[in-house]
Amino acid sequence: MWTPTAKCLLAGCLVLSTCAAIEAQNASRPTTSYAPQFTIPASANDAPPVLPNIRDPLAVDAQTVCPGYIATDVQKTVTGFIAALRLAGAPCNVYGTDIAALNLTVEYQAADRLHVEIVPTFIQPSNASYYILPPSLVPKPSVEANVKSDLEFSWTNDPTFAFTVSRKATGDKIFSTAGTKLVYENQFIEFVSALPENYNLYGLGESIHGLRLGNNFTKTFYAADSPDTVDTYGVAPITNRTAA
Amino acid sequence: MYRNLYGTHPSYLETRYYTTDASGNLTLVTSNEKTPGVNYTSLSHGVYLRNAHGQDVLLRPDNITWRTIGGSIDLYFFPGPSQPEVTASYLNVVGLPALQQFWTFGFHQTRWGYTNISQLQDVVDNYSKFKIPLESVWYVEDALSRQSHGLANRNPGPISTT
Repeated sequence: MWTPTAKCLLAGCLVLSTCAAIEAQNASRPTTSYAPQFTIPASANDAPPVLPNIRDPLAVDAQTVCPGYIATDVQKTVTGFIAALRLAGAPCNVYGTDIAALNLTVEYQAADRLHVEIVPTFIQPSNASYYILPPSLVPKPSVEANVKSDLEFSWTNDPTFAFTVSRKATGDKIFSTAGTKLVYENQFIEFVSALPENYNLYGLGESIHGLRLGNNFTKTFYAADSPDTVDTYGVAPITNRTAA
Repeated sequence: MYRNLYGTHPSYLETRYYTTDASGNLTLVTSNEKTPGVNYTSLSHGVYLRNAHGQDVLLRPDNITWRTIGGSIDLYFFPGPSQPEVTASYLNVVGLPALQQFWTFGFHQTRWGYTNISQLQDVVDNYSKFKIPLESVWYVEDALSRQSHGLANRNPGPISTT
């Protein structure tokens, strides 16, 4: 998780607590030998170049080739509604295999929280952990009763399934996938929401960036070590957001 | 730069600014420039995708495109209407940060490349000499794992930090 040559705050040892352990470890080793160092074999140069999709101008745009979904079987629930989503055309299978049947759940969970969940209809125990993030690892909130939400969920099948989340007080659409396609494959999920011109958007993880993210920024979520070029460590910007 | 670091936080806050007319109707402001004398109001909301797989989030001039290579769509929307409410709503979902031990808030000294214990001792001694409070000293393990003549083979004894 860290490179030994990096300036290292987090992975260095606290002098007082670790010396005894290391002393003990060294006692069983010859004192003059050097630990073998791993060297990347020369054959690594022969590996095919890996061009991230976002930097590949020839990458297929899922929005142009995938069919989207159609919502059916809408049923009211105590907290919102559920519906079934079916592929609206031939599968595109562009970055995986299209999942033909999905379940949509919309829950007004609290006055300050609307939950929208789309999961495959048919999940086996063998692949459940791939699609379903266990609440024991990342918590799921509880649902309150008799919720008066500040938000409103609406949806359409024209031309394919899309949904919009609006602020009730103003009618402002804060999130809308209208005019875009939902892409849901076993190795690729994509959804697109419209944003206003010159939007002010903040957050999206840990990185060295001005607070306002700007409108041509791509954020890749892979946890990584500190970059070598700059001396910095993690800050969770979700707690650092600018006041409105 | 701009690369993700240790943690992933697939969530964002968006703030929209408006001008208000006499009857209270809001008009979205899309300019980055402020007009003097105009009263602005703002509304903020938050979005959180509960997904632990690798993701690309593409901010583009007129949309946000969210791509993930696994998991599900598990979205939470927080109406705000301002940043503190959005943050509070978000924390209700993901939980509060862990409390830190008190000593972690103290002054920490770190560097790497010590070749012997005397250099480390000098650093600590200088803090004492100049009466600078020092809570912790960190050094990089590198010196220990690769050099049998390094720090670890000498018993440093207790290091005074006050």
